[in-house]
Amino acid sequence: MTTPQRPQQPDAELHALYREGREDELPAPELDQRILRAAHAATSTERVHGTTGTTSWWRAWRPVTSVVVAGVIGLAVTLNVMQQQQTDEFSDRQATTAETAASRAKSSPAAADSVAAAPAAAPALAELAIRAPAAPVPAAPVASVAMSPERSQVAPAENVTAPAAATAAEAFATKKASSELLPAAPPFANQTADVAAALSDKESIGRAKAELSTRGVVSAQAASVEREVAANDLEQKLKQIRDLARAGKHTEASELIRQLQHRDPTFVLPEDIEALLAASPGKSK
Amino acid sequence: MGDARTDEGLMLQYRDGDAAAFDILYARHRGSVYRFLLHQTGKREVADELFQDVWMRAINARSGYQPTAKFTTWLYRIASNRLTDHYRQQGLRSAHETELDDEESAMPDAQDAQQAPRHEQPPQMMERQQLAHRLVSALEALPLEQRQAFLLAAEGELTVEEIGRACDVGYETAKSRLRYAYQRLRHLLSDLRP
Repeated sequence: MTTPQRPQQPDAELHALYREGREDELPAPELDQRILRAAHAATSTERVHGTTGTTSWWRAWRPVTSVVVAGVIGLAVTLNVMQQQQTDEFSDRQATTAETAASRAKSSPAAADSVAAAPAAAPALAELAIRAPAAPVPAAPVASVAMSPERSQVAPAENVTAPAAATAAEAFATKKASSELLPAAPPFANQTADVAAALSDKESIGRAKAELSTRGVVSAQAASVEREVAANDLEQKLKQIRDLARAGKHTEASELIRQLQHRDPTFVLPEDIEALLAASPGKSK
Repeated sequence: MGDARTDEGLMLQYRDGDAAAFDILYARHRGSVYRFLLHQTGKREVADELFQDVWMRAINARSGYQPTAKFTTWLYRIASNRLTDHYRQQGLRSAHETELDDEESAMPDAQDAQQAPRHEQPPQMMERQQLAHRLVSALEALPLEQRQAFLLAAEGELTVEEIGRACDVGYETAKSRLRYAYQRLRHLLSDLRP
């Protein structure tokens, strides 16, 4: 009769009987040696060819490689964003500077008059401004503004034409030949050229308007400089005539007066010189 | 004192190039695997050949070894597959054919298996020893799948679930095979018991 068994549980009695009844059958020693040699040879071959080593190396370095690659990509993206931000910031400053100059020029009646009255003279006067080294007075603001744009915002606006002229010179130099005109700051000139190229259309329109306005300011500034130079020259000539008149050298004094009248037909001899010439007896050389 | 490392740990060490770990594993399981194959085939020459093939397959498969199951389950699965290949080569009945055998048709003839008349049996110790030898001999009369299930349980000490994994069959199938094996063996042995 068969004894019912719980199928999940091993039949311990049968197992014990089996173990008692079996002979201690084992593989032959030669077979053992053959298998063990094969097992050792397999690991030796792996060491020579590095198959397992390669797998282990890859598995070990896979997370490290992933982290390094992610870090490099993150660094590259961060640097790119920072560079882009710097460029945008510089562009904003440029645009702000141009707009400020334009508004100042508009608010200045003299500049507005110049814009209205001297459109034809603007290129010539702008070139005069570009030739900054030859004209000491406008050269300084041009250089300073070109080197540090933010100065135009903090400098006191005592004279409306001075910052306007500086801004105009900066804009003109940026657009055309800043690297040639400002050899002391070639990197900035290159940056300025890059930024100007990167400006959007909207900014370009604003800049164009500002440039048109500032060109008139440049004209006014150049005319002012010319007038100033002429006035200085006139003052020197008059002083020279007075000295000659006091010394009794009427002939030389008259010659100078004639030159002045020839240069400027509307020239009127000052009364004090007339009095000197009349009071002292003339003597020729 | 034996090595306290588990079979799975030793196999992982061998996978990573520690040949000495394989020596320990082999020493632990060489006897049971060999007997499993010997009792399945019944011929020492065939068992030798299959035994070597099983261990060579284990050596070659070491790089893909993952300790998702017991090492013995993995090892006996290799052995069972090799046995299946052997049966196919020999043109023996397939597992499905033997699975359909009913219990009675597979029942060994108790009288043929009996080795000695009951009146010649020695006292209790001798009787138990005789019973044990009888059991081992009766194994050969079991269908292949039932014998395999019994040997996996007795030699490999696998559970029903592990037997199913080793034989690549479901839990219920493994349980059924093992149950029939026990029933037939007990039926045989009942004739010998006083």
